[in-house]
Amino acid sequence: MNLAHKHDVPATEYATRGAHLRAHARPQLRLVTPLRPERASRGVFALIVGGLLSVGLVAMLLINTSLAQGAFVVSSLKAEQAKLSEQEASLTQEVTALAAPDSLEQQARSLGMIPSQSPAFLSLADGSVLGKPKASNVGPGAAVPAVPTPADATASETVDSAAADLPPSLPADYDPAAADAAANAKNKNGDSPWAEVPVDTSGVTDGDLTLQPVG
Amino acid sequence: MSALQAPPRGRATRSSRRQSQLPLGDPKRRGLVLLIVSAIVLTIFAGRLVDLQVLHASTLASAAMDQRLRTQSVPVLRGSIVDTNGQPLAVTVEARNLTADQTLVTDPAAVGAALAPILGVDADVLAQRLTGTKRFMYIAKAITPETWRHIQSLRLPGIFSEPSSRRFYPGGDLAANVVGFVGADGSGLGGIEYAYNTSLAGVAGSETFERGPGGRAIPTAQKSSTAATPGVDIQLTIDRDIQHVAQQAILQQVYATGAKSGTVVVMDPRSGEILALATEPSFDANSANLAPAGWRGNRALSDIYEPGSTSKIMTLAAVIDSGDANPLSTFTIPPVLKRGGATFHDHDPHGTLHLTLAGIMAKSSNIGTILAAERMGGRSLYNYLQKFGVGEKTGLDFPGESAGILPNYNNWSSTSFPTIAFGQGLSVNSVQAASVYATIANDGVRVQPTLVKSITHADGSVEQAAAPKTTRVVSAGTAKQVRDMLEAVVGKGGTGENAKIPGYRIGGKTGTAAYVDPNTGRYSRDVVASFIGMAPADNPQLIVAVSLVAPQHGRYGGEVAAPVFKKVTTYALQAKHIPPSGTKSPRLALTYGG
Repeated sequence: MNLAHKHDVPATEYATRGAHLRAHARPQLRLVTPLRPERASRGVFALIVGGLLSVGLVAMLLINTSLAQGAFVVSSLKAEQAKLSEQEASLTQEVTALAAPDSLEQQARSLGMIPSQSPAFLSLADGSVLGKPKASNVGPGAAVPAVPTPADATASETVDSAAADLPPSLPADYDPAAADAAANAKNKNGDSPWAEVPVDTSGVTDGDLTLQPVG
Repeated sequence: MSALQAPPRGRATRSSRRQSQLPLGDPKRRGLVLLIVSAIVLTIFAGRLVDLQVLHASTLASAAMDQRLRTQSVPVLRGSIVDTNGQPLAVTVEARNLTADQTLVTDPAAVGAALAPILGVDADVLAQRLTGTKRFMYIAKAITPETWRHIQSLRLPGIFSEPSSRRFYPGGDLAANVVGFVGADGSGLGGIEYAYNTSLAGVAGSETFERGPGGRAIPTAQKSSTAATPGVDIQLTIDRDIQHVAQQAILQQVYATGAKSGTVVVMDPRSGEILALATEPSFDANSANLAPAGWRGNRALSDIYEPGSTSKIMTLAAVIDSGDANPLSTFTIPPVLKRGGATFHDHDPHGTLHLTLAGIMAKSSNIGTILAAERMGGRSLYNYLQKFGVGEKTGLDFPGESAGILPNYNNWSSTSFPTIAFGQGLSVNSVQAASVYATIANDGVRVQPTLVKSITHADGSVEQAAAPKTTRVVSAGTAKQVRDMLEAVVGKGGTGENAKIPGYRIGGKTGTAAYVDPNTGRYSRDVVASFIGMAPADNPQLIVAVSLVAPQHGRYGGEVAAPVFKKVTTYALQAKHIPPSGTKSPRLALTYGG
């Protein structure tokens, strides 16, 4: 009604137009087959969903298990780390105590060493001896294993002759290894002043050398 | 209720009888009552709401916050103290405090018995500490982590531990009188530990967080933390090897001579660095509480003594520096000398001697020193003594340090001048005495002694100690002449022959001074025997000062102190790689043909 008012189209015109269209195109009607639900595909779908679900669950389970396992590993490693760092700290502490001058002196004395009583230096530049080296005498109370020394040579003479043996300055083509080898060969002859004095360790018992086990 | 309300109309006949007996409910009145009651209730609610949300809102909110907030202190490790080569003298190591929840300990006797052998505490004492209803109780403090592991493996119920730390002194008594010690709470109570306590301790941080019912931090809630400032590491000038040798040497000599105490000071005269500061008696810093209080201080700084003959070096240096004499100036020494109503003797009775100034030093003549000092006068001597640092603190800022005593010149009596000239009536500590010789060794310039080499801050930055104060006391020429005279002391016929080290030129001076008993304040029969020397005398790099208080076997500085000097200097020369120059000592005439 409103439309009619707005456009002022007479009712008759609609009727004639309709008739005209009907005459022009006649649509072919056919029976549409109803869409049948596919029963087979529903089963597949359920299978897929179920599969996904179970895969997800299993995956969750696996992840959780591995996470839990990781947590266990982490905590056990942490405990081990703590233990090791404590061990390290206590060992460091032990080393610092053993490296303290007092315990070093005791260890050295138990090996038969005594402090040098005459400071002397050997100049590498010209091989001269600075100071007056003398054999240090062992104190009367010191329990030190006897170190045999050549009766006819004092230590100062030994060093003096050694100094005479050295070249005044090292040659440009000086080879330490070769020099050592030569010195060793000389030592075998037993006539070198640098021959090592054999140390009699019979007075040193193993107990002196063994460190105390850690409680 | 429904029975009282209007019954269904169908039953009117039956209920009309009851209705007539009960008053008919008035809906209006009922509504009014309900309104009033609910209004009252709601008003109370609203009032309470205002009370909680407006009046007490802030108090309650903060109380709730307090309940949730937990502040935990973040501990910092105390800084280390190391020697001049970085070797540790005091370190802080991890430890654990053993705690107990008494309510969880079912059988205190059994737990106590299990812990007793591990902790070394009586089982009954432990059982007593484990009995009760306290939820938290310390059983042992600062046990080692291994001990805790051992206890943990016993699975004792109610026994727990908390992390803690412990001060560890690897050398035990090594430099203990310098480094000091800490108390049970870990704060420094002596020596460097005390003097630098605040810097060493650092500032503990704190962490504030809101915690849930389980005690765990609420992740999203507010959190605040104050960063901890770790303690600084302090490097001393002490060389622990020289320190060890000095300690051993003075320990042996104190026991051998039956002395009350002894000190050794080893110093580098050019830098003022103290390389060793040994005192005997000493103590083990790891168990400082077991040592008598008197053993824990540093006698080389706290104890003062009359220097006696070692002080003559100042008088004679002053005489030379003021131009009133030279080492070969001649003096006629009478057998006795009367001054200010007192009679002064030399140590060994003698007739009239003819000595040079060098001879006065070598023979340590009191009369000769008085005569030499009279050439320059008391005021001048006083000024020189002040410049040498007598009566003034060394500048080490060490706890318990004494400044020594130098009587003010205006208060000097008639005998003050002669006695002070040869080293009585004034007092110094061992470091001050060593510093006098360091001044002569360092060409007349006094370098303020130092003990702290550098401070390493937590961020790794190293703060070197400020350059020490230097004072010109005597001219370089005077210092050289005095050194030559000091060599004569150690030479043939001098009082310090025992200090001789073969191959080296050694200069030094013996001292045997009357000992003032601190209890009576009077001279006692005992003496302070000392020897202060320098090596090598032609290029001094070491000052070693030895003093022994009240030795009973042996009495003279040259007899009891010089051997200690020799032992310590022999080692220090090797440790510092100081070779002899090979030059010959000058031969100064000690006497003259009079």
